[in-house]
Amino acid sequence: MTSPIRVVGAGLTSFGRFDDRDVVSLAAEATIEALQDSGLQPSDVDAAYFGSAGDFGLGQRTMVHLGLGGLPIINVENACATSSTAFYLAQLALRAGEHQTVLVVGAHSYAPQRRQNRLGDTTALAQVDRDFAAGLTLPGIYAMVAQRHMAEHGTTPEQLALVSVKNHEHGLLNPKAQYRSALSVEDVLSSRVIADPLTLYQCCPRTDGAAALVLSNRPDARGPDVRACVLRTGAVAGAADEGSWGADIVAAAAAEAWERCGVSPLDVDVFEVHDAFTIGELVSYESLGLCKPGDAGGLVADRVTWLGGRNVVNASGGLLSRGHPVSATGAAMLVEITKQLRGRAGDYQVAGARLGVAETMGGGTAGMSGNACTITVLMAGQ
Amino acid sequence: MTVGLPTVARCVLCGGVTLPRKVFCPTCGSTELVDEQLPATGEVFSHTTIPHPDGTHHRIALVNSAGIRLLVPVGDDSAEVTVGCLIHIDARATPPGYQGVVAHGEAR
Repeated sequence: MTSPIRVVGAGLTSFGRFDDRDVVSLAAEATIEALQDSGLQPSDVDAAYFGSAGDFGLGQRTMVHLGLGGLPIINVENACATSSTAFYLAQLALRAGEHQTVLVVGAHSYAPQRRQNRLGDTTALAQVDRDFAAGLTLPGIYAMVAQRHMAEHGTTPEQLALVSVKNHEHGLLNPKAQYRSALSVEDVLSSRVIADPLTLYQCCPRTDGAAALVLSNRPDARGPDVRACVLRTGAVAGAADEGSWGADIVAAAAAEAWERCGVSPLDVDVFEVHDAFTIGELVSYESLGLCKPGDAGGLVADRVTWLGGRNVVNASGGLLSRGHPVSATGAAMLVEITKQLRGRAGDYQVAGARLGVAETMGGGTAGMSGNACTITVLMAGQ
Repeated sequence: MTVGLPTVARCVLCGGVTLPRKVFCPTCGSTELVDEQLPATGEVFSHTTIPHPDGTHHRIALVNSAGIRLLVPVGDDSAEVTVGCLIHIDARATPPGYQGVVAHGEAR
């Protein structure tokens, strides 16, 4: 029997707007913290997987600051699932017996785009994409999922808003969150419309930040055990008998994850779920199996997913409050789950958390139901 | 800009339709595909309105037509668009600055 793969170290920068920092300094800060946390030496690292959507050579440019060369360094891009895909590849390499200790890092900075006044570029689909030419934006995709959910299942604007209210309430407890302010349902619904019915406070911010993890299957490794890690790409799709964008790929990845490690989603103490938009969190409840299709609005209204509830979702504040550095988000979710399972999440600790799950969803390519979805199941270590 | 309705490729052997056109039928692998015009009506699967900073806005709808899902810019501002309603698809009515009808999918 092979040794379990464990998260032995985790590092996370503050999330926010850092005009005077570059992406390498963010990546290096998280990496050094994760290595120090692991108690291992930099020379123990056999390979490094960096999530980087748009920064060429981020891995090499970061590792040179740590004095680490020679080892395999892999830079990975998969939209919002960029650094969770890096994590997926890293654990595969351990599972294959190729390495014993690997580094996973994700880092993102919007400072260059802010300086060039090009922030808008990141919310549009690629300009070569025909859907973009027809007027579709990324918030527009999620807005149409929301319109459909409201018409089909009776989900209300207030239920959508509650996702943002919950995650901002959680974010108040997280000193590293980008936005630490309480919002009421009225605040959320009266903010300006981005794509009807989604208002500003139902859309995540663009964030600078970095996250890093050290994974190891050495016999002396201690920390949360990677029980399952699944990656799926959306079906080539669009046929009329299919559901809303992105729901199927999350459901397929989740079903595979639950089967692999023999757990029920209802047994998961703490989730980090891709709440780039409020409706994204609601449809994820259904795809993950936390409730029946159509019942997600009731789940958040009944506070099942709030701190103190049965299945806590986004105790860290999620993308809506903690922030969304695209390349770092997947790794950041995994750092948050690691904190929870080690009992080190401070004021937003889920009491006695043993089982945690991170779900990242990256989109969107025209004609495909989601670019990439990763689901990772972690269990508290011995 | 005038854009015609998209044509789908129908497989002569199995009857499946696909769009965009592929070399092989994705259902049965046949290469015998013929072009076919989509109907000019469809059912709205979902829709949204996206406001702009200058006070204007644009509307788009996802429309199911003959098993294909179409992304349709809604040019007529007075048209009522709701989930499940039938709409007429006229690609010539595309609002200025946006490009016609975009479609994806396969159906049998």
